[in-house]
Amino acid sequence: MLESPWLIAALWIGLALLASMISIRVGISVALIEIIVGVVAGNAIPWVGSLFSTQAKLETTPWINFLASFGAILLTFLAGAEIEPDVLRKHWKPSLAIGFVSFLAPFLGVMAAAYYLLHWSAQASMIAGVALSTTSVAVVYAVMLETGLNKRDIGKLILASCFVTDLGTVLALGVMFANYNWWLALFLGVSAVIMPFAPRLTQRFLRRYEGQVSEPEIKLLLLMLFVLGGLAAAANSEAVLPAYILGLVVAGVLRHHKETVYHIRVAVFALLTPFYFLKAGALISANAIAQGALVILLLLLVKVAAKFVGVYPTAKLFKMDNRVSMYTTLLMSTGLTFGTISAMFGLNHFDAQGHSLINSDQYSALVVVVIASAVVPTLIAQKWFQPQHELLEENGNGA
Amino acid sequence: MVHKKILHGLDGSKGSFNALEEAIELAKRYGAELHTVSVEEVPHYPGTVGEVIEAKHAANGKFGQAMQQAKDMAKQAGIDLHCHVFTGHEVKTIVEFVKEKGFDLLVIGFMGHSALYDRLMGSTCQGLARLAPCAVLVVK
Amino acid sequence: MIENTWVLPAIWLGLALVATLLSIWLRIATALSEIVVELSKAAVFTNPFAK
Repeated sequence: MLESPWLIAALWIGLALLASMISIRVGISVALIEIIVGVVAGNAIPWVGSLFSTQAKLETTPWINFLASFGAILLTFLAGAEIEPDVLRKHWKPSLAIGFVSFLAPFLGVMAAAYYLLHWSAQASMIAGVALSTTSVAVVYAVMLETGLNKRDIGKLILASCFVTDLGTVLALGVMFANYNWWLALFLGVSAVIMPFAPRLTQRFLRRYEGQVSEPEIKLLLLMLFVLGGLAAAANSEAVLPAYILGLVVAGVLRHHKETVYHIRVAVFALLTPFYFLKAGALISANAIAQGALVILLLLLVKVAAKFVGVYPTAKLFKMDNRVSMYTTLLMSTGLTFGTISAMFGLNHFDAQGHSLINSDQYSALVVVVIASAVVPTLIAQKWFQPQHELLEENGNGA
Repeated sequence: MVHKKILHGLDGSKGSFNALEEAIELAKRYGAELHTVSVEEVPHYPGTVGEVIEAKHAANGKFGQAMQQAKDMAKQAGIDLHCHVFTGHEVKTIVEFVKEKGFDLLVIGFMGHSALYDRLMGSTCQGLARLAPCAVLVVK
Repeated sequence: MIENTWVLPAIWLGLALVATLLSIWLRIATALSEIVVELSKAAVFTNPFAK
């Protein structure tokens, strides 16, 4: 219906603006609200159009798809760059152990449930396993900040474990569906060259050029992301894999250059992630949610149960008490951004027969489970299992 | 009723500064200890850590200014004002702080929302008036 | 390979980075430098004898 790219852009940015205002008003993250606004717009616009006998829909044009993918890559890069390398080094044993089982248990559990109980195809089951193995570092971080645990060892250990979980997710996504050919070899070879030199190169660039209005250091990071992303895509892997690893690798450098990270974040939140999250929501079918309610409930239960089976005993092994172990397990059951990225990967990638790895109904179910997993375990953790903490004098726990 | 330990809720709004004036007056009258608390709310269920960091950064800026203004107001009136900043849910954090420190009066400003908004979202005033374990004075 | 989503952006961004660095070294406006780099790219890759 809308042919003009400017009108299409106006509609999308209008929805993004609406989502932004709602998120400020209700105090819920803009990412979640953008997904919800996308769901409403994606389902309401065709319905309204049908009332006027027109075939209206929320258009996704190639440039919108590009901006959305670009947003996903930068989100993933920023997610990797937010790690504190010192914390990972200090708590490497418990965080590796907890993070690894936090990924593996739900990955295997959900994959098995999707294949044997829901009779999804092998590839759809693998996508489900990957999408529901994630942990939302952002949700965990926000909860830590509210309780002051982000300043304590236990909080830092939990956050480090979340990074390891997400690394597992990204690796699984990048490796499981890749074509094992010369493109993959080239991608691995170029990555092996760029990754070790990226921190030093980025540091040099920042030292020399930081503060310039033309932002050369950001262009350098974007160039590396696009080159690696392009090679990953050529190998049928996923561009978010090198983005996350590049973020991890330069995290130590960017910690001391918060202004650069701030500038990247401004571009990402203002222009790119709205397209990503709105698109993620618009692709959800309201009918599929209504008809797949039991599927959604089953997958959510399997995800949380698998996280319990994996994380709780591991946490106890590292001498965390019952309350803290439960709290850790529940927080690590959350997921949002990487879950939607994995689900979107499944919808946009095709098998040898030209079918997408997951269909629209499966995508809708997975994204709803991902959103539910961001909300439900958090509420339970905060209500019943919050570790005791002291309120601090003067300046409190957050200033 | 004599109040010995007064807590004021500061969110930087005009209403909260009206409430501060009243709290300062009461502190002078009763010779009470006066504290003010601000709560930085971070977005729930964020998609990125950056969103949380940005929200906290913005809140730090907003509350930093408001705190300074509050300190200046108290100083002019010859009252010592103890300032506290926390991160979390506004109502829950303030109620827990009141319980922890044993305040006997909470003074807050009235934020005028529409009746529909109050019905759907609830208001901080209502929440605090209902849950705070001490007397609550809402100043309009 | 060019159909790959990221190849074209990588090329354009690479050119943008070159233009940015040139603008810093030569102390000229970034916009001007980008125009010059783009014109140079077009001159290198365009067949002057094409009809």
